[in-house]
Parts: sequence; C-alpha cells; structure tokens
Amino acid sequence: MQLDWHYSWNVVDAAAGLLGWLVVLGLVIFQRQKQETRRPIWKILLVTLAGFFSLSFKIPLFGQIVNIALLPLGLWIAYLLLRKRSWTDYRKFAWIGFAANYVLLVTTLLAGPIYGSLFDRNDPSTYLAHLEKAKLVAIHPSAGEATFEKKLFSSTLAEVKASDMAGTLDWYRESLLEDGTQYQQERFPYALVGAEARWGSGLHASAYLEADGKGLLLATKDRYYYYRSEEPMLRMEVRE
Amino acid sequence: MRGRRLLVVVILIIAAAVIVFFRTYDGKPGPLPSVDDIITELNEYDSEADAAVVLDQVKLTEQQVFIPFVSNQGIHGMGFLTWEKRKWSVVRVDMSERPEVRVTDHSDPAGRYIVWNNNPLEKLQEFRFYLIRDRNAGMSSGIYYYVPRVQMETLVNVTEHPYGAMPYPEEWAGIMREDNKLGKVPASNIMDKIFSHTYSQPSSMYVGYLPVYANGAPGLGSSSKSGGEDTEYLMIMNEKDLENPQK
Repeated sequence: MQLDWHYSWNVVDAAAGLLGWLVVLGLVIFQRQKQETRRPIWKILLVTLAGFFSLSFKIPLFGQIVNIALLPLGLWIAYLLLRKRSWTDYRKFAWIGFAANYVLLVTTLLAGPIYGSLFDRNDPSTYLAHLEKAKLVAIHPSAGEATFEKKLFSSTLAEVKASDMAGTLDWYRESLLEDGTQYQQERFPYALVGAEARWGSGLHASAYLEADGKGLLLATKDRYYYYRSEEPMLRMEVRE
Repeated sequence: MRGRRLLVVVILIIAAAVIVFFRTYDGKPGPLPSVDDIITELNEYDSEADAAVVLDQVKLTEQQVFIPFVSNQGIHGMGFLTWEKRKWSVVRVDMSERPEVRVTDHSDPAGRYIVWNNNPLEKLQEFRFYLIRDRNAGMSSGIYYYVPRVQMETLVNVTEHPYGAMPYPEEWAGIMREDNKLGKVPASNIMDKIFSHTYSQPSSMYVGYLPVYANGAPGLGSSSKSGGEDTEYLMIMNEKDLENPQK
C-alpha cells in the first residue's frame, strides 16, 4: 500500500471539478425526466461517460492550462455500438457527456481567479505556512553552525523582499572555479525540510537558506523564487 | 435453475479468493531458521556462496533479515532473508565484498539501509558514505534556476564494525523526501510540453562511498555486482569528487 502521505491537494480545483460534475449530473437527470422512454440510469451514465472522452488539446488561457475538447470520440464509438438499437434514446446523453468537457472548462476558468485571491504564489509564506515539523539540515560541509528558531524565522519571513536571480550562473561559477570567491563553498548550505504549504493550496516548495542566513531560495515544480532579508533568518553562530 | 447456477458461481469465486489469499498471504513472521538451515538455504540459492560461518542475523524490518557470512574460501558475503508466503526465504546473496544499499521500503527514503561485510584482509579503517546531489544552475524557458549542491557525510569505523547495516540518517531521508515531493510532476503528454513550461529538476541524488585504508594497504581490485529490484549501488568516490571548503 503506497499512500501518498505528502500529497497536498488543491481545494479550489477539487471544488470546481465537483461543481462541474454536479451540473452534468443535473443535466442528465433533467434530460431523463424529459424523455418518454426512460432507459436504466446506469446505462445512461455509461453513455454520458463515453461521450466525455474526446480528442482534446491544451492551451494556456488566462494564465492557466485548459483542456479544449475537439472531436467527440467517445460519442462516435457509442454511436457505432448503438446505432442499430437504441441510439435515439441515448443520443442526447452522449452529447451531454461531450458538453461536460466545456462545463469543466468553465468551472476551471472560474477557479483560477478564486485560487489567485486565496493563495499568493509569490508570497514565500504560502509555501512555508506550517513550520511545526520544520527542521534545518546542513547539506554541505561549508555550512557554519546555525539554529532554526521558529519565531525568528517567521518574523523575518514576513519582511523578506523578492530578489534578482539573474546571477545564478555566476553563483555556480564562484563555487566551481578555483579562483572563485566561493570556491568549494555552497551558496545555500542549509535546507529547511518538513515545512508545509498552506492547506488546500496544493503547492510545495523545497526551501534553502543562504550561507549568511539572509537569503531564501524556494524551488517549486514550476519555477524558483529568491528572497533576501535584512536580518538573518537563522540564529547564526559567530565564526572565529 | 438460475438460482442454482448463481450459487455455483458464488462458491467458485469464494474458493478462488481463498486460494489466492493463502497463496499470497504472508502471515506473521515466525522464528528465524537455525544457523545450519540458513547456511543450507544460502548455498542452495547461490552455489557460489559456499557459506561456512554465519556472523550474525541483523533484523532490518520485521520481515527482512541481513545475514553477514564467511565462505569456505574466506570470502565475506552478504545474504538477505525475507519472510514471504509464510516462510523465510533467501532473496539475495552477494559475494562482491563491497557495500550496497538494501531497500526495505520503496516509498520512504528512511527504509534504505547501507549494508557491508568487510574482509579484514583488506586492512580497511573506515567507510565514508556520502549523499550527493550536483550543483546546477542556468536558465530554462525564461526561468532562472539554481540547485544547491548536497554533500552529506556519515562515517563508519570498519575496525570496530567489520559488518553492519545502517539506515540512512534522518537528515538524508529528510532532504531526499523534499526532492521526491518536487519530482512528482503530474503525468503530461506532448501537447502539455509544448504549451506549458514545466521546469523539471535537472539533477538527482545518489549515494557513494570512499574507503579509507590503513597506511600502505593496497586498494581493491575491481569486482562486479549483480542487481535486484531491492538493491541499489554505491558509487565508489575519489577525494576529488568531494568539495572541501577551506576556512
């Protein structure tokens, strides 16, 4: 049994999907009441589901990736199987199934702005909302002694400013080249593991802290974020 | 008539379910076989094992046991027993005299063990085990990225522990879990790849080791390992594969 214990789910998307399918179910029931010959409900739902399958493509629309259904493949298959028998009774349900693609498209488009108003992807505290289980791990021998204090971290996290990442290749070179200022030192020698994103956001980021304790690097599925703080976000031990 | 046929079908299904259950049911692990039986089973599993002395029986989990042993020729081998289908059986024998990783749980990095059984003739003092992820940086699809280097060390004194099983340190497991979470990108097709610029992690983690020999002792010749789904290899590393920050 491989339970996805760390899967954080996107509540807004889930609600939008549920709403969409409830609308489709409503349409099916409404259509069944209207028709004179009432076929068994499980067969009707099967045909509706078949109608849902389609050749589709994905395009970015209003900052989201949405699915546009093009060819009603499932409907054609249902037609081929049923045309000599009861197609007239099922035809409308197959089309409702195909239309479900567009119902879901609408709910997805509605979900986008709602999600945006609830969760800010550019705010680091969205990704690091729950720090109860967070632990600081030194991931490189160049890491100096430092301790993670939840209070200090939270208060400095609220003040961080988004910073420029255009120099990543220079960071890389400084650590790699023998005459580099950071030769064989890691710019981000600490990782913060076990922090959780805001509930329902469906987001996750790996968090790294800079050697001086004042920089925060977040790695998400889609992109990286870099923030700088005026004050160290960790309790840094003074080096000799 | 119809009712009787239904009854027969139901009985057949139940019978099939019972058979399947008993053929795959593992049951509660019983006591380990005697040392003599373990030796016999190791030798039956791999004729090259030629096991003579069982050094220890190290429990990794309730169902998995690590058996360091010595063969008649003095080779220090590793055997693995698993409780399956209501009995203990040998699932792997390794005679390479090199450490490896035993995976007891594929879903959690903390279920990985580094196992070794060192031959004292090698005059080995220490194993230095490393969790490594290479540094990476650049720009992809208009997005800057930077992957910090991971280099975490765990030392094992081989003189004191000539054989053993060590679970991945909690800190290794922690950073590996973080990486796994990011790696779980939803399934995508070609159309997705054209339109969405999903940035994927360009480097991955691996575990390697550096053997430290007593002064004047020669390094090992090469030897090969054969695999298995629950086995992962350890890279042999050199001093120059490691970063050594000067303070």
